[in-house]
Amino acid sequence: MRWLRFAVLILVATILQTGFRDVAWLGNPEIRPDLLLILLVFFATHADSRDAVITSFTIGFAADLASPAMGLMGPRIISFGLFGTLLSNLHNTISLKRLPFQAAAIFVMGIVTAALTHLLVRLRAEPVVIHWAQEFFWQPLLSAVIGPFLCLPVGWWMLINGSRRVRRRRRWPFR
Amino acid sequence: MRSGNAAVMTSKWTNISKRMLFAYFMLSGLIFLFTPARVTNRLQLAYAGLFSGPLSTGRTLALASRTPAASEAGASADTVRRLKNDVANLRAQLRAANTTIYQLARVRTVRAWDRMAFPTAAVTVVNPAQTEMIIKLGDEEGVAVGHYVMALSDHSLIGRVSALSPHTAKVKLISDPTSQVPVEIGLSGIQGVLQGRGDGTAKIPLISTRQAVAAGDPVYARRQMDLDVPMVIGQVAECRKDPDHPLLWDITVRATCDIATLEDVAVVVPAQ
Repeated sequence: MRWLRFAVLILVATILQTGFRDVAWLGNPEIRPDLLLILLVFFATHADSRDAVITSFTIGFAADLASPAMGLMGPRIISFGLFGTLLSNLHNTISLKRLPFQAAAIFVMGIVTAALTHLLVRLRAEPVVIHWAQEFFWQPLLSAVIGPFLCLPVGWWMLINGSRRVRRRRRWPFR
Repeated sequence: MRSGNAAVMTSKWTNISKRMLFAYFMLSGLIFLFTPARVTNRLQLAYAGLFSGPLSTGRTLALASRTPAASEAGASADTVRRLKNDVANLRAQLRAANTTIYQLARVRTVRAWDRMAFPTAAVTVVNPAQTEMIIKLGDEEGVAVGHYVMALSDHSLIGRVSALSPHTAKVKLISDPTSQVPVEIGLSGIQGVLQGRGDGTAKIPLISTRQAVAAGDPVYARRQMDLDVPMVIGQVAECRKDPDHPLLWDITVRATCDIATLEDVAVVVPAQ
């Protein structure tokens, strides 16, 4: 893993996500892709499992910095870290090489991370306003549409070619 | 010898199992989660302060791409809105001045607004739900937590400073669910508390239907420690009988300006 390149990439993505949050996607400024979510799925499926743990939690930390909305740090560190690690483990058995599968992974990860984030904020008894359609459908959907195409330049920058293929060798009982 | 020790330390770090690594990070996340917000706010303010240049540039570009070319009609509509708020603010000042005259039997020679300071600041970030924003102005410029923040575009209040660093401040907008501002509706002196709803609006609960309130009435932040004179903080957008409590109004208030497109604000620093 090239950690310096990873740090630069995360920094740029965090600044882009914070600074360009007012850009109107699909004619609605409240619907925007989540760059850090796309990176989470990319590293969970391309880095080896130990690095995937570190990258998932680091991206979660960046996501908490990028959204001062709730005034809390921690919910995204935990949700991104947990589900990023889970996806990394899952990727040992399910291949996400094809673009539609990557898009589906981003969409599902967007929903589950948003759900856990809200649960954790509620755990802190902070009043939360949930924009259901925006956070649980439109944002994951837009990220899923854009994500697979963003993976190509990200892979080029990280000098990673193709998806990680570290599958567990299936034991054949009758050999 | 030292390089040997460093190599041992590095190998110890790389030898941590994946499970232990996950546990350490999870523990760190939980520590962050339960750390008081005033501590974690400093991290977020430090990030906003350190990268204020690229963040402001990004926001300016995004707004430029969204804002249609300024037309004469649009400019005059902005002017009319600003003048309306100025008139409402002056009325409130006049009423406050009259009260002072009656109470103290003397006339102040300096108007309330002239006694206050209005340091201006650029808006760095507004959160998507429009409940908080970060501005480039900090405690080194005399700003303190609790000070009101005014939109420069139409001279109306939009929120209060909730956290500070030397050069940046976090502003809790009136629509934030945790925001509570003592207010008066119109000039009739109906007093209440403006509570944010998190959806761009705020409500004033517990106002009896015996009181005369109508859509379009200006809502003033009440005179208190952080504000020398009442100032416009919003406008009654909707006023109807509360279906659950027919003896009370259900009053919805909106800010008079478009928070998403704000570029500059001023902090209201009261007279010392």
